[in-house]
Amino acid sequence: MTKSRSGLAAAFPAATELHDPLLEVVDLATSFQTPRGLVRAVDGVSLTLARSRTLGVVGETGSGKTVLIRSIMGLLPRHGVQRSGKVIFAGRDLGALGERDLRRVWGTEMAMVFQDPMTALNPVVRIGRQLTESLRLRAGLDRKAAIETAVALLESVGIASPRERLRSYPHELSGGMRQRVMIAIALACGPKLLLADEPTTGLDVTVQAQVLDVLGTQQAERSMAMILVTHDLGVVATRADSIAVMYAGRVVESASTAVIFDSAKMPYTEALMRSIPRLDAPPGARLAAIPGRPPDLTTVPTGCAFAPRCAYVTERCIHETPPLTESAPGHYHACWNPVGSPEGEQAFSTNLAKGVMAAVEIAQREVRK
Amino acid sequence: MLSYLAKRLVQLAAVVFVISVLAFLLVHLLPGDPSVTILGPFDTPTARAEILRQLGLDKPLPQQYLTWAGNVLHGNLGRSFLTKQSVAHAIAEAFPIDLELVIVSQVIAFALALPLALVASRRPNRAFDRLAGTATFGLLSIPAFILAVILALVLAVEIHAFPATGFTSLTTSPVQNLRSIVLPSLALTAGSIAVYFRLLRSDLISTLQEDYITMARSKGLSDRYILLRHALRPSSFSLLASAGINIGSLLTGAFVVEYLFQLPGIGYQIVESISARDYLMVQGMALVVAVAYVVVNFAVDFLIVLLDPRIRRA
Ligand SMILES: Nc1ncnc2c1ncn2[C@@H]1O[C@H](COP(=O)(O)OP(=O)(O)O)[C@@H](O)[C@H]1O
Ligand SMILES: [Mg+2]
Repeated sequence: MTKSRSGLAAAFPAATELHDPLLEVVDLATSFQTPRGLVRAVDGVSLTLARSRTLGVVGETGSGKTVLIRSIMGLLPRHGVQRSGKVIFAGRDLGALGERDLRRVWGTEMAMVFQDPMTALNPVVRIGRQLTESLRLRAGLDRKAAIETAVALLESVGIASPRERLRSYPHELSGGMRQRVMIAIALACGPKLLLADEPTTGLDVTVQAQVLDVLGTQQAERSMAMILVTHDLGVVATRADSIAVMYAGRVVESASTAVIFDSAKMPYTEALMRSIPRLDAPPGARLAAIPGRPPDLTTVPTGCAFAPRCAYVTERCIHETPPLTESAPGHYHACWNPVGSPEGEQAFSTNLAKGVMAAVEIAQREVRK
Repeated sequence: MLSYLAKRLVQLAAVVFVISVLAFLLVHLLPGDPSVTILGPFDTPTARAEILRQLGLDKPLPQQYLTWAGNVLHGNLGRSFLTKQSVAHAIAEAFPIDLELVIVSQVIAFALALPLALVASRRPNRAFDRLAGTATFGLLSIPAFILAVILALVLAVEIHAFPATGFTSLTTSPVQNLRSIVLPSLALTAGSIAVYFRLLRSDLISTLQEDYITMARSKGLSDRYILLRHALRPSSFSLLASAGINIGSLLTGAFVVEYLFQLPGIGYQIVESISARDYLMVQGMALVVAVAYVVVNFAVDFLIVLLDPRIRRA
């Protein structure tokens, strides 16, 4: 893109391009109408992402990560969905666009890598067409150019004998290969922002690393921004510039990656960190899974949604929702008793003295009221 | 792929064998003397002796079957005792009529059901979908013979757009032939449209929920392209399977309509032959219809395999 501009403009890019974030999400909320009631899958999320940077979005299964990135893109079911908030992408508010206009952004400026390549690739369509169709229909290449580009794309994501692979069907490829194909499809039209939804879940560890490396290389080569969604903090530890931790549809902590790993404030973030698989752990060591389950998103909870599972819980957590506050420049968290604070130490030792079940007990007493 | 085809061909051969045994037994297990069954009650003793010798009716059944099967393979299905016409010849006259009826009625059914389902599935349970659903349900609940009478009354008797009864062969006059086949085809189409519409619509609706459709949307492809190039093919399997069964049963099931419009197709002839106790005719036609049924379904299965790469390895 830059190359095709006039020399002067390329040498002095507009100030806005340097300093404005590529993506700014303000108070985004998405809920689904279901027979059980309104599911608040995303509940007031704000984020910013600069050009060619990576944001890691981390949270347990069901915390709303997929719905969040699909809401950013506007790629939601057509019926039974309510979305509000702003999504400013490259200066435009995508929230105000209808599907017809969004379609011009999809694929060419913003693309998505889906969680499960087995279900996200059409099982009865050859890889070749799934890859070339956007090149032909969106980028306007002719058949031959599209095929050559597709071959180059497959090669760049590390697929051997790419020309033959064009004739394969998805079920003929291994899981890792399918995910590489998916990445190639997402990259096809040169998006500025890639939304990668758990791109390595379900792959074995060595393949995970390979796929993440492919993503990293492509991102650097294309100076593309990326939101990398995962339930595993370990995945984003070395690959994201900053991290947003999600719980029950909200961002509960966000900061640069280094700050998150050095001085996480949220007990939930701390718990997620303890559940990262470690290569140097003794064989057979159990991961510290977080006890309990994420809350039901159909009921609006009062207080902190994590309280029933939290080791730092106090009465206040159950009555008052902690706001997202900036504790240090760029470090936001939503907790009354943050890890490492006097209140946190106090709450933790009290709960420890009362016994393991104290937290659960407080929460249940509240529910019975 | 080839091994799949080979396996299915073996299956097909086995089914055809069983059909042929049943058709053979049709004549031989009827109570009484098979020569009477074949020649009718009024034939001469010399003719009886001749047929006994010719078909080896005094030999054990398996040997009789082999003789009969050999004849069938040579295109010799015997002769009707009533009309003295060769059964093979009668079939050659009647079968093209059914073929035409089935082809015309199915082309109409697909031409209507396909676009209806494609449009309806885009907005399920909205006005268009409900209207199409109700209309096709109405068609489904009208028996073919009532529809046939209505069509004949309105389009033939009142408007004279089409002949009410009778058949003109394709070779005599292609235009007249088409005119004589349109009304009966329409009468047969009604039920098919409803079934095809409903199957395709519900499969399309569930396909449109799939992740790969969302993925296709995320590429910025148009709705129309996604519907035709991503959703239609994986949604067409139950439609095709039911079309196979439907076409097979139309081959004989068309007899009511054939009767009403006086089209001398296979269904019509079988009914005539049964009431005349012309068993050789029944045997020959039943054999042909059953084999055609199996072959049509085999072809449809094969088409589905061509369309769905996932089952090719099975
Ligand atoms: N189409 C939908 N209809 C109703 N509820 C949905 C829909 N999609 C997601 N949800 C709900 O939204 C919540 C968040 O889901 P999701 O974003 O997929 O979580 P994650 O990706 O973090 O595992 C879940 O409770 C899920 O059941
Ligand atoms: Mg998800």
